[in-house]
Amino acid sequence: MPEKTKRYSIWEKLKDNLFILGITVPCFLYLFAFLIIVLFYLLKFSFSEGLPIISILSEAEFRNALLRTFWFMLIGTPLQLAVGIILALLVYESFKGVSLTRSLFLIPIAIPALVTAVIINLLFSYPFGHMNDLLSGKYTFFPKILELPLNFSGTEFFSIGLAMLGKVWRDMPISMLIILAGLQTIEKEGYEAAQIMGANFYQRFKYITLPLLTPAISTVLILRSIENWKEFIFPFVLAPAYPLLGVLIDRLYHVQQNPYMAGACALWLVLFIGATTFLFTFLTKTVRAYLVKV
Amino acid sequence: MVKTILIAIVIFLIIFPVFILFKYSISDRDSIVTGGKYPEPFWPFNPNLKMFQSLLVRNDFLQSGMVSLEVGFLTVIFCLILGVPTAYALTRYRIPGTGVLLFFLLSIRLFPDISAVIPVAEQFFKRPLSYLPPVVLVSLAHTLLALPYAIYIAKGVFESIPKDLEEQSQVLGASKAYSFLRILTPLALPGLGAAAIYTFLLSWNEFVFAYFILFQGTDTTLPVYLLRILTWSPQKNFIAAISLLMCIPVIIFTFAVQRYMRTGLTAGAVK
Amino acid sequence: MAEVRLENLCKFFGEVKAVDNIDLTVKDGEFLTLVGPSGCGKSTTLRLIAGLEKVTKGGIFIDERLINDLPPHKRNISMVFQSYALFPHMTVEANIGFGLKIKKLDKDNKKSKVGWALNLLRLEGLEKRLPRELSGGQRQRVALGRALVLEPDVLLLDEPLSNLDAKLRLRMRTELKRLHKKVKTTIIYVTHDQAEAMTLSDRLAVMKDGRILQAGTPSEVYEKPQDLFTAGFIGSPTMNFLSGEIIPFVKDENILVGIRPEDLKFSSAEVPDAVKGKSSITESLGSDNYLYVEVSDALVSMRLKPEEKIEEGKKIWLVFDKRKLHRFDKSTGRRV
Ligand SMILES: Nc1ncnc2c1ncn2[C@@H]1O[C@H](COP(=O)(O)OP(=O)(O)O)[C@@H](O)[C@H]1O
Ligand SMILES: [Mg+2]
Repeated sequence: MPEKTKRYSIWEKLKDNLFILGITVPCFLYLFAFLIIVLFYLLKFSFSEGLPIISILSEAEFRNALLRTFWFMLIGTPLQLAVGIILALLVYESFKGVSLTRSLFLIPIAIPALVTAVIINLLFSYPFGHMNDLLSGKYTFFPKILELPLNFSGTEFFSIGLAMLGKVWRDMPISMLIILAGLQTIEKEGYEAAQIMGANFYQRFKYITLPLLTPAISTVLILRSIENWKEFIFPFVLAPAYPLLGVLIDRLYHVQQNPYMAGACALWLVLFIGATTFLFTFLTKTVRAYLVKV
Repeated sequence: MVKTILIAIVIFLIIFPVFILFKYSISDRDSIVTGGKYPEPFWPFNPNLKMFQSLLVRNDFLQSGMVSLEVGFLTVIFCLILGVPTAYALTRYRIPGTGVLLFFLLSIRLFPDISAVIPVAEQFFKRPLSYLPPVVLVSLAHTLLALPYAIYIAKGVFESIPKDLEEQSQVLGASKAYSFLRILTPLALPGLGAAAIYTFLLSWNEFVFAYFILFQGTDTTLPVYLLRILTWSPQKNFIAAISLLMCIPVIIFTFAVQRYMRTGLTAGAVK
Repeated sequence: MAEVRLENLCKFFGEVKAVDNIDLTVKDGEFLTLVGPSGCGKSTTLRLIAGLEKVTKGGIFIDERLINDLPPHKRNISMVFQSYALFPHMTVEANIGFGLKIKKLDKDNKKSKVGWALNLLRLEGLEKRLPRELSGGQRQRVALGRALVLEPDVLLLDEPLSNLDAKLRLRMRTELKRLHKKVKTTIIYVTHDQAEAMTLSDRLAVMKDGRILQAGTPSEVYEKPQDLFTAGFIGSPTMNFLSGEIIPFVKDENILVGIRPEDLKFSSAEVPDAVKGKSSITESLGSDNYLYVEVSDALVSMRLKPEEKIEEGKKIWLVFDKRKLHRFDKSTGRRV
């Protein structure tokens, strides 16, 4: 009798688990297959004959792209964080029309990145476009700054700057939403308690908002730095003459028809992203520890 | 006060580019080809819808639109079939290693697509996958990108439906299947609809994978089509009109599923 | 050490009159409780005194100084919130020391004061813990310590015990009383629990719809409620109300008679000035037993002596303690 019930329960358990396995395994198998493919080819290409993973390091093209991408990440990340914090602070407290404002702030995310790049292209077109007309004083409401129209996409500084502008503009709702979610975990009464105890606006920000916001800030920093490292569309459209790593991968693969170098470059990109993520995680932990000290 | 001004500035910075796109799309020739004699106007001299009219009878444009739709719908179907049962299992059963699985999902999102695209393209160009139509190949790649989001959103949907409801209906005598179909599904449907829309939009906007996979073929999705057009240096009003048509479904759907959009955008980022 | 006076104090949120013309004086060192149902404006009154809300009309005086426009931290008050509002990322020590840190106290001074508060609230040994590592009662004490360490003239407490379980709530009541004896600060305490108000306060003010209906010592309010609402709100089980015309010695249909369960007796035989009724169920509330009596169409509760017992459905006569009778005007609801 006990024998029988035991067998029955094992069978039941198996049936239950079979059901769960049946509905989860295909999904993870699918994802896993891609993981294998990606890792396999990246390693295969990177470590094929001549060790592209090493030899690419001495290519000037690669070094330049790396440097550009590094700066793109280093400036773009805090910029996006700052924009996210400012936007979140603007719509954090409720006022009349706050939900409409929040919705309006989400518009950029509804514009495909490629279209955003197109708009920037239109605005900054050479020789005649809104920005060039503005800077050459053709509109009555703005002083003349330029003698000759500026070819934005012809200079490294401006073309990469425009790519960054596009990235910041289009992704600002994402950073905003994360910071906003972080802000909303902070109790209003905590601020009031601090206020009664005499903490002024700056002190409340420093001792309460900032440390409680560090998880959100750290999330934004990490996600944004990854995003900036791997950015492709904006520099691809706006700065084709000055490739970042992503654009270089495309260039190596499609123009130079060299999948080995492309694979090596792609693997390096993954490694840089890993290193940056690690660094930012460590950094934000340290800062937070400093802020909550008695 | 300062805040109001800042909000106004931000709203201007957000609306202005969109407005400019709209303006160019309805511009006449004189408003875009100024020859430098006069500044480009902020409102066209002779606004008209000619560009849209000509686009809507252009075969290559309509073809790309069709391809984008097909890829989008296929991606939605793949994602729902693979993702929804998984999300359901992850919320309703204690599965060992759920945390690791979720982390794995997140890291897919964070993996640079420009790095992943080369292996994927290499594999897709090889037999047997190369026998599949390009549209299917692109949707397979898009499924890879969208699946983590779909799972996260669906997981949120199931979590918001108390398990008690299903159990109550079972206690009242309904079978497991009946309670799943009649209790859970109707409640989950709006949220799953949002997951579907989110997935569709992701596919509709996606550029990198579509560009690599469709590089040599004749089929193009709308973003790839737009890029090919860009290389001819076309007129501003033409390019603006294509861009605008591409945006419209995105704008409409984004605001329809705003609430879930937030979940998708911040999935895993906030506890 | 300070006296707080509210003069014609009003606070409107648009149409809502959250606080409607309140006059109240809280004497130096007094423990005063604002008690009333939820939504009656207690918290708003407290937040007005704290300076967290702007006064619509009227005046707030501390020691005869008008402080309407003073920012919160210049009023020398402290406040404990219902949610405690502890800073989740700071240790117990840092939470308690926060106000002192803002005041830029030197290290030794700060340390000794924090130590004093830890000792006062029996929190020694928990200095390094984070709020989430504390029990409800401990969090509560940290919130109190954080408020008291600043040695405020006035301590404002907004339903500080409502998040605790019943047993702990009773313990913290005694704790609060002990603290008040020790620090002698003026305390304004807000609660919706009349039993809490009765046991804790030197004086209490009953609030309803933004107004103060009656202010007085607990026994004053209990023994001489000035209106129907207060009479029904204070005391548990609640006072019985009977129409005047069925009471032989009142015989007035414009009067509503109130009598507390403990001021009633019953007799099995008819006696003069008693009201006839039928015994219904007996209910035991711990130490006391209460008998419900059907009188015309009302159900009257009365307290039984421990040895008393009565079966259901018996004809009995209710005897009133005439000195403890409360008479209210039916139309105005005021005491007569
Ligand atoms: N910030 C506010 N805005 C609008 N109405 C409020 C606000 N604060 C409180 N009220 C209203 O004022 C009334 C009194 O609230 P409150 O003082 O919190 O009551 P209590 O603390 O006695 O429960 C309620 O009707 C409440 O809805
Ligand atoms: Mg309240």
